[in-house]
Amino acid sequence: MKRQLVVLLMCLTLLVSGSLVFAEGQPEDTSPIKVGMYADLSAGTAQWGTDAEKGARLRVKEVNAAGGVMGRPVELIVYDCKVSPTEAVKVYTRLAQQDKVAGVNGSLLSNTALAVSPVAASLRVPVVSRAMDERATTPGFNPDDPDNPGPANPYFFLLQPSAFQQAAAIAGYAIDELGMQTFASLYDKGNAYAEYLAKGFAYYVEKRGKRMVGEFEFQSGDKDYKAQLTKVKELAPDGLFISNYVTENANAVKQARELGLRTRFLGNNSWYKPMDTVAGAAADGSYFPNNIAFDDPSLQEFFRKYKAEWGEEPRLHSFSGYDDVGFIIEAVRSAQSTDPEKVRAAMEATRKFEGTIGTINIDPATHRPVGLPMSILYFDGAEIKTAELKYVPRSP
Amino acid sequence: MNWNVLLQQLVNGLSLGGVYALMAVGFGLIFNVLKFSNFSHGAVVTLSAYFGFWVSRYVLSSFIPTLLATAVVGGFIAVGIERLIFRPIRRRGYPVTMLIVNSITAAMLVQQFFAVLLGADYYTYPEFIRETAIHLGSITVSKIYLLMLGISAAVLLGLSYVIRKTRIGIAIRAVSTDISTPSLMGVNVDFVVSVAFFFSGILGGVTGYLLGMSFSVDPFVGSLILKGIIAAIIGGMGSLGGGVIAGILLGAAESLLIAEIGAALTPIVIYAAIILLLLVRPQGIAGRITDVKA
Repeated sequence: MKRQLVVLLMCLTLLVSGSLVFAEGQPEDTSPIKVGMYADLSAGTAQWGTDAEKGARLRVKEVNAAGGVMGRPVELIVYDCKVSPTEAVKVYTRLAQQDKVAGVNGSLLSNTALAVSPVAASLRVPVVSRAMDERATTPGFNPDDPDNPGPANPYFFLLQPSAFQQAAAIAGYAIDELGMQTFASLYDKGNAYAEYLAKGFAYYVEKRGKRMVGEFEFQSGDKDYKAQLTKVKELAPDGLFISNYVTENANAVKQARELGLRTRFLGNNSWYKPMDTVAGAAADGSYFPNNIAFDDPSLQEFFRKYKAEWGEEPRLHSFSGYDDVGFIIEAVRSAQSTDPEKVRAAMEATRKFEGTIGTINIDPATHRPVGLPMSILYFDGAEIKTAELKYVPRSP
Repeated sequence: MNWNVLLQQLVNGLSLGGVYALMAVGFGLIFNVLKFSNFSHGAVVTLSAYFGFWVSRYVLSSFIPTLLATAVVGGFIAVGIERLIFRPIRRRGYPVTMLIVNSITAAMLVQQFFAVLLGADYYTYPEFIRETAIHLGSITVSKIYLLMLGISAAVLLGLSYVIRKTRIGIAIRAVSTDISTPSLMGVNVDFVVSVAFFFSGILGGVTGYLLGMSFSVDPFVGSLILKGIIAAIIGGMGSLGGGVIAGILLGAAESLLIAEIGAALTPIVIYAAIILLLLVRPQGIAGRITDVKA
């Protein structure tokens, strides 16, 4: 009985002293602000994930050197999701529930994003990602009816042009700058990224009153596209949009050259390096969009900082990690809170966030950026050069 | 579709068929001898494609010597695979299904190994042949594919000579009829099986090299073997000549169908046609007609 009384008294004392502290107002919180990141640090696309992490760490270092946010330092918690959707869900859950981060920078791939997106909607910690597949941000998106994307997942954001937006960039450039009128496409039916780009391309071309003379598919794993390319040769469109991964793009280009196609090739953002070494001069005269152009003068400062920090040149996704984590930190700053719900609202309201890839304005309806320019690059022989640094296509 | 286009599609198909034929023969040879579907032939193709890349990129940038080197290495890879995973099973007299299971596992192992180790990078052979196509009027013929067609024809002729006229050929035929009896007559069955694998490995090596050269190398290059297996089945399992004919027909049919009905429907039509064909003629196209039967 005596012991029980003592315990009761102790509990009471604790309770009273605790409430006193709160009553006096919280003392200045100097604990770090936690930002999460899951990236592919091993397996297939490890290079991309590692680059993104380095970019992200550079951003955090800069923010902390400038005094942090709300007088608190920022702490980046990074997990490897190993190119696996299930692993991504696991580490996202850990970031949201155990680490209690303010926001999460998702991995670069659409397939992990499609798995995490519904989980984010139920755990309510916002994710910022590069998943071009429209379904990551607007789950009800149907590529055959792109005008009605349905409501956005409140907790998922995209920080680069989506598949349809990237397709519009190259289609717009082909129509307005290269004067093309007729088009065809060649894509891997089993690759959602390739298919969404091809559908977005056809959608934009037709909206602009130009003509798709043929949309040609192949099966994943096929290596010979001569049957399709012979059809393209017969139809002789001004431009052929080839929207797959590097190996397929390079094979298609080489075989088209062999068949003597005179059509100009248009590409996606997988036409960047190492396409120049894999396809070589067969890609000569082709145009494609990319998030950045490496000779952009406004990026040279970033190049210098990154090289000083990591002792190597930045690659494309070094920019991604730097921008994405910067965007999350900016949302925390403008929300003046680490509450994921408030951070999410701040993200949705973000206008004019200055990223290395351009000025990002989030469309609250779709959670994708609006009016974000892309660089248009082209092949001069086997060499990639810049045609236009910042290009925004006319709206269809 | 005008005649020129139709002709071009036919040429595309025939040249693609050359690749299938080459694989069908490499696959069919082992089926002849050990009576099982040797899926590990795909692994030989993949390993050879990587070897061919390595030797032509870093050792000697010359077409014919590196092709020959890869063919020989392919032969030894196949012999090695046989020693490691087929011979122990065969010796213990386990059922043929065990051989099939092991051959599938070997193919997947090699594929996964390269996917993990080298999957993220791209490997292209040096450009040996600058102009890769021959133009006949408006028709374009790929030199590499012509080479495949030529090589499969040459190898087939050579092989049928070896199998019909030489001592080792007679031994292979004897073993393929009945694997245990020849050993009673002093034939070294293990050696004969090794030789058969070596021949099939040479074919796998040549296939891997030519595929790598025309498409750049990736871990899944060996998965094209499925088309070769289909050709071998249509041709009549074990009939090498039938495999060649079926491979070429398959390539041509594929090419014409993709052009007409698209790549998504083509496999459906082709697989349905194969089932029908085998219902009507279970022995395949040349199951009994040809005498090039090992």
